[in-house]
Amino acid sequence: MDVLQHLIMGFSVALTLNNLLFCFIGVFIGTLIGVLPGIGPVATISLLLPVTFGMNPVTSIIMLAGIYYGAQYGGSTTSILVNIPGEASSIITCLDGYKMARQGRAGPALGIAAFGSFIGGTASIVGLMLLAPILARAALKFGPPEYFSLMLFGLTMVTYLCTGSVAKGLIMAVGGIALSTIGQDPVSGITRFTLGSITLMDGIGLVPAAMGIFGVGEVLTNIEESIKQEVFSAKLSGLFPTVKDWLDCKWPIVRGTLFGFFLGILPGAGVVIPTFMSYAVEKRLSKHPEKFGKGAIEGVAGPETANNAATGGSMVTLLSLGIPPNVGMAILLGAFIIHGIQPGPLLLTKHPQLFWGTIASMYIGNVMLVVLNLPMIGIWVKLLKVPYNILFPLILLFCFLGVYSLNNNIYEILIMVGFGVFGYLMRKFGFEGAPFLLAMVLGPMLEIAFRQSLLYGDPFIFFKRPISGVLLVISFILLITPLFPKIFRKRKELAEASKD
Amino acid sequence: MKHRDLISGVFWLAIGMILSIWSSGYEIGSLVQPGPGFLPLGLGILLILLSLIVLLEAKKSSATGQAASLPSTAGGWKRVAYTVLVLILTASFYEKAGYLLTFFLLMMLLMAGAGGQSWKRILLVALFSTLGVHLVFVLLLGQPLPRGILRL
Repeated sequence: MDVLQHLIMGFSVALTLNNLLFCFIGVFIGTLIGVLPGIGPVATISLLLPVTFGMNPVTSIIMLAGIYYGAQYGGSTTSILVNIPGEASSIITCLDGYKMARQGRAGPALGIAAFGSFIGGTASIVGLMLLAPILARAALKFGPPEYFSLMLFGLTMVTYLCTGSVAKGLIMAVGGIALSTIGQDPVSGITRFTLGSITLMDGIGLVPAAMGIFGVGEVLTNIEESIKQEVFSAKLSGLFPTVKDWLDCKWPIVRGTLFGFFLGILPGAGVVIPTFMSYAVEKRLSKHPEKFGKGAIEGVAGPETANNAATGGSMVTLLSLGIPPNVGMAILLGAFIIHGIQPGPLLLTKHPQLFWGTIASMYIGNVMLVVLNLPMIGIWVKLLKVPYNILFPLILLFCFLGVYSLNNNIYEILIMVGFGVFGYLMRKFGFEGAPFLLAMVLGPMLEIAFRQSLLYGDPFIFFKRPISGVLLVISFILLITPLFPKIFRKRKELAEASKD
Repeated sequence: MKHRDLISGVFWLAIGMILSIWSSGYEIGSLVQPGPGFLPLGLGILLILLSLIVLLEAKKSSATGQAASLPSTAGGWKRVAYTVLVLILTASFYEKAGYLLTFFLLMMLLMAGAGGQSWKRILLVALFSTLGVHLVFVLLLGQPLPRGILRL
């Protein structure tokens, strides 16, 4: 009953005209950048942070969260129609989605993606609503050692789940933490590694780094090889999947929801991994695995449900523990902090309006998204015809504009360009950006928790507290498994199965 | 595979060494009372160890003889370098020239560099995107962008 009362309060916040409008703007922009390849929610939320400065915190979080989950809807459209993923989380959708489009079944593919997204998205909000308060209550007992181990666990997960070598993933994570130590030491206050630069006194900003790696760097990678964009031009008719389609997709959608939500909660899993897991599992469980990769609707329904369900799951971790489980949430954490709000166990009691208002807005946003993505699909298809030669200068223009507006500091544009080059080279050399950026955000929190824990006077404190100890042991196991070829092969098989 | 892992391995090894040496200049403290240099030094040492692993892996994989996938077309490299230069250049006169001029030029230069488009289209897109920024970000959202010499 308690939840219901809170939810009614949440809806009374979310249903004000202003919040409805910004929720719509958020999911609209989310769909837009989801459809467009080469720009994702991380760069977009960074870009729009300065715009929210003057806004009410609740309204700005509603809008920014809308961009995040809205992007998961839009990504599938591009995968299905163009065979280029609109978002990283829709990579796997290309396999069967595009094949379906070639077989004249673009409509049902888009339809099941949108409905699956809606079901997964909505179910995960229910999960978020029920689980976040419980987790927050438990987290009240967390001290610095628990937080330290939890963050370390998150970083381990994100590197373990990297597609490349674990050592490279760890380098990225360690490099990210190292970068975050530039600027004032959070404990003693002395400045480190600044070379006397005033811009660096506050450390390297998250926004220039995120926009550099995920905005500029992405563009640089793309313009190196000119993208050939062939929009599938068959007429879209019948967006509604048939009864047989629904029967085929019933269980993939249910499993996708569970995978997405629970993996989303885990620090480090993000929205991409659940899609790969879902695809691999559906292929294995299917009675006709040979159809996968040749236009199996289950291969669209499962992953597209999973990526939306993951958004709700990852919000659990951010809102109740104050720890961003993935890069998108890290940027959202930045938004909270700009507005002077600290997510974490106390968020629920201190800012109930914000918490429940955001949750209610997510229910509304998901309904808006189905409308935006089904009846209005034609608009997005047209958008795909904008050539990349026009699109990429616009993306760079927005990055330029956004990063300057944050602090009116010209050097931050240069820092962003620097990170753009770094991001570009990183991809060339087979490194991944997610562990780096997540580590950069967690860095200061990690250092504070680490040093506060050691002040207990016992270096082994991390192993003596049960929760912290378990997390560290799991992290350790994750890190050493690649050393044992047998388990390692399994992991590789899984990665390959999802690639096939 | 081997070639690029070798380069990145050496790069991170260097970063790790610089970080370790640099952070030992700050107070390290002890295990129960860590100072500002404690964590960076630890990270530096970790980086050195990890880059050694990458280098070792690179050496091993050379036996299997995977081809390097690093080099791409010369045209591709040029486009990347050109884009980076345009961004740095426009950033350097952004505050003096103001947003209208800068954004117009930025769009013109980037589109011209990408090639394959008529001048008329480049001009129109640059013009409309600059106007669009003015409308949305300045008039509608009231963002304080640098006005520069045009004083608009």
